[in-house]
Amino acid sequence: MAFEDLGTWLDVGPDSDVVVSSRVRMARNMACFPFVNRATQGQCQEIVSLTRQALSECDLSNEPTNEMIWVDLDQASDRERMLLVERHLISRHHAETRASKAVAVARDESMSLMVNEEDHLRLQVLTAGLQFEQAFSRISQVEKGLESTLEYAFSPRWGYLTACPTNVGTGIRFSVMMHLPGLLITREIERVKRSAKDLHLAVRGYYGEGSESTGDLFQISNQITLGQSEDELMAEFQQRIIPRIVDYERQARQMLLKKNPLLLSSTKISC
Amino acid sequence: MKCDKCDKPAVVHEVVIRGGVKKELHLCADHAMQEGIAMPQQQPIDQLLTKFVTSKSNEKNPAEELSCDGCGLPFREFRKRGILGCPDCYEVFVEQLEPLISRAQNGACHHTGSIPSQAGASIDRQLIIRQLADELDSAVAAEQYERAAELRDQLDHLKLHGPELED
Ligand SMILES: [Zn+2]
Ligand SMILES: [Zn+2]
Repeated sequence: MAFEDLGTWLDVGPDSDVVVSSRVRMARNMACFPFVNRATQGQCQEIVSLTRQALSECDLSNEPTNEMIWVDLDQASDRERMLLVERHLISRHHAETRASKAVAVARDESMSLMVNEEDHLRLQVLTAGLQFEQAFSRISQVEKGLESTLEYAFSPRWGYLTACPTNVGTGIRFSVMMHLPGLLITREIERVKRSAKDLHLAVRGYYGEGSESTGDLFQISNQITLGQSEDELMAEFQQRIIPRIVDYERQARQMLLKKNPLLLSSTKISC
Repeated sequence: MKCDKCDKPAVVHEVVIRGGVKKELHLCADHAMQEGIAMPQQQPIDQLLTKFVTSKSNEKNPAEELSCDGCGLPFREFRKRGILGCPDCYEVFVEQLEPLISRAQNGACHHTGSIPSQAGASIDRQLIIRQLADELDSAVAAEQYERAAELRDQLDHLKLHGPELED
């Protein structure tokens, strides 16, 4: 996979009037250990220290910040763990369970590697707007780097083996956070949700920290991880599926703008 | 708000009417799952998995008695939680997993994506590592600590310097 030179970290990415951010998540397990939920405390510790060593031998020269900060979660304070959750660098689940766990975080917080979450390794990269190539090549570089030391659980038939069988294959999920006030107000969002099901996408309302009601932010992710290559899955998601939803949303905003310009300013929609 | 059954935060809030009496339920993710209540934010495939897993539970199934020789996970346990225990589970439970995976993956049942750069050589090494790990377990059980230490060193070496085995 060729590295695309997108320059420095961009706060405003492509299509960012509708797509807030893009995320690639990759699950990997080591061949020589049971999955996290059946691993002993000693094995979990071993997984953490093997990963730390592998990461230290990893070439991170293509990383914007050249390094990752290592945090042993069993030694972190509650406050530190809370902070990592709030910044979406680790999952709530990862912060709460008691086994030996760790996370490595890029200094600009755009990439993290969770150790001993549901899978031994969970890599994720976040970018602004709709753009997956750069995120995917960063993830691939770290994955390949770790592989020169670690051996991944893999079967020729099922691909990369994951604790939950619905992640098996590429072990990769692409997801976007979309701002869809137009589709929400016009109630077209229901139609998008229905067609998303046929396209094997998961759509979930995003609840802000501590807020009870659904806002106009939606996380949309692909559910297919088997039977297609990483590039095919990425192209389908980025070039076909998401642009269609972006178009719907822009149309809905145009329509609302014609009908009632005041409504738009009150809900902070831009066209 | 806390879960009715434990101290974790409640994520599912439901009003149930049983025998004309209205009752509020507040449950954490784990207890909601135990009660068979779908999570509001759950993804369709997780639901599919739960449905598949629970629908099978009413049938008399020989898979009920299966468990993985790699990690000891009983199939019953997988049916409850939807999480496998180790790489071997994919072989031991292959018949049960095939229809589930293919349904979740739009009919696909073969990986066509990238493969590990050492895929070929690794299979043998995995076998050796498992054998060594078994030997280590029995050495520890038999309190042969010198032998155990030796085996542990070998294992560590293999896990860290795997690729060397090929030359
Ligand atoms: Zn509970
Ligand atoms: Zn197993």
